[in-house]
Amino acid sequence: MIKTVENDVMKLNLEDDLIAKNVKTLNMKLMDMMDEFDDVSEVVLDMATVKNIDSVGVTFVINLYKKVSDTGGNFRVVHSSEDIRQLFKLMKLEDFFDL
Amino acid sequence: MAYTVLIADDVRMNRTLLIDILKKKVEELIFLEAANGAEVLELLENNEVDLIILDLIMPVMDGYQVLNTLKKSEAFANIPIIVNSAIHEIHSIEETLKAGATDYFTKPLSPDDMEIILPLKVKNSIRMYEQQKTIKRYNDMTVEEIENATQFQKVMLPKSKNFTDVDLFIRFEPCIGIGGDFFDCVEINGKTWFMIADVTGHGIAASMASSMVKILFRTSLQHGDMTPGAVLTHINNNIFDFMDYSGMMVNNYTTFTGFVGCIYKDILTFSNAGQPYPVLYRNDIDKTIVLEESGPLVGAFENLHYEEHAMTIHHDDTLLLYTDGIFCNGQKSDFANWPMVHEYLSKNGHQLKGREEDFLDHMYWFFHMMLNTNEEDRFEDDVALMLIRKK
Repeated sequence: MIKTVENDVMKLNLEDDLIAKNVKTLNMKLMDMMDEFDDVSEVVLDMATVKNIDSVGVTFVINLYKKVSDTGGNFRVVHSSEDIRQLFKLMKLEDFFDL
Repeated sequence: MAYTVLIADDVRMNRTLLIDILKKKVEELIFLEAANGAEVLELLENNEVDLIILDLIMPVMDGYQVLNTLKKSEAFANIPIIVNSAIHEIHSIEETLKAGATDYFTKPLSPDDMEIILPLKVKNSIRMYEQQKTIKRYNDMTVEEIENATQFQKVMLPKSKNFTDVDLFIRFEPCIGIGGDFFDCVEINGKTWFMIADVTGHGIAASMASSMVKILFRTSLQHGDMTPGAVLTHINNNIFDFMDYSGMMVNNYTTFTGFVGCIYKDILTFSNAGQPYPVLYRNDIDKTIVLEESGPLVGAFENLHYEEHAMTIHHDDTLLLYTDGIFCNGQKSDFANWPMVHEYLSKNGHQLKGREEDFLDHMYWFFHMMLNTNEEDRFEDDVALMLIRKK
C-alpha cells in the first residue's frame, strides 16, 4: 500500500488483491499511519489494482472507513471495479462512504 | 532429556568405538546395541529409539533389509537412520539415501569423523526427529480439536426436517471440518423462522462466531413480537454490547452476512444483511423470483436498523438460500456469478419436488464448477445450502 499526502488529502494505493492473506500486512501498515489521519481532511482508498476481494478484505475497508471517521475525516473509495462496486452496494456500503 | 541411540553392527569393537566417541562428545545419550538386523527390530519393539546407526553388512538380516523394513513401518518410518558402512561405492550410498537413510558415512572413521562430523550428525538427526515429533504431536492435537468442534457444530446446526408449515433441506460443507457458515430453522407460535449467515473468514474463529450467532438468533426470537428486521437489529446491537475490540485494529471475527426470514400462513417476511440474494421458485408458474433486497453486514456498524420486506408464498414454493462459498475466498470476482445460481434454479426448479437432496448435491457441485476453472483454483471455503419448501 503506497501512501501519498497532497493538499490535506491522504491517498492510499493498494498494490495487491484485498484478500485475507494480504490484509494482515495491510493492517500493520495502517497501525503505523493512524496518527496521520488527524492531519488530513480526507483519506482516499484507490482500488485500481484490486481484482479480487474476500470478506476479510471488505472488513478492512470498513475498518479503515471507521478509523478515518473517528478522526472526523472524510473517506471514499475510488477506481474499484464494477464487480467490487456491486458487492459494496449489496452490503449498502454506499450509505457510509462514496464509491 | 536423554535420547536413545541404537547401534547396529555385527562387530562388537565397532559398536564400542562408536559408543566411546559419542559418550565423550554428546551429552545425555543412552545406547542400545544390536549385532544383526533381527535384533534391531526386536529392540525397537520394546524401546523408544531416537536414532539408529546402522551397518549394512550384517548376518541374519542385513542393513538394507532393516532400512527398507523400517521405512515401510508406520511406527518406525520416521526414526532417523545414519548408515555406517565399509562400502564406499557411490551406488550403495545412493541406494540407502534413496531408501530414506538420513545420512551415510564410511568406515574406517577418520579423526575428523570421530571428533567433529559423527557427533554433529548425531546431534542434528536427534534434533530433527525431536522437532518432527513435536510437530506431529501438535498436529494430532489440532486434528482432535477440530474433530471435537466438528461434532459440536453438527449438534448445533439443524438437519433436514419436516416442520408443520415447511420442509427443510440442507447441505453444509465446511472446508476444514468446521466453519463460519451458520443456518437455523425453528417453529415458534405457528411461525417458521429461519436464518442463514456467513461469518467473515473461515475455520475455528469463524465457527466460534457462528455458535454465538445461533444463540443470538434464538434468544432474539424470545422477545415478544419480533420481525426479521428486528432480529438482525437485535443481533447487531448485541454484538457491539458483548464484544470488546478495544486496542484492536480490526473487527474481523464477528462480522457476517445474514438473512432472516419468517413464514406465517402465506406471508414471507425477510430482512437481508449482505447475503447473496435468495431465490424463490414459484411452483405454480414455474418461475424464479430473486429477493433483491439487502442491508449492511451485521457486526460492522453500530446502531443500525435493518429494513424488512414481505411477499406472499404459496403451496410448494421453494426458497433457496446459500452462503456463496465463493465471495469469501477472494479467488475470483465471484459475485458476478450469482446470476448463474439464479439461472441454475430457473432451469432446474421444476425438478425440485421430491428430489431436494439430489438438487442440493447438484447445486454443491455446480458451485465447484463455477469456481474451479483450472488447477490453481481450489475451492476453499465453507458452503451452506438451504431449501425451504412451503407446504
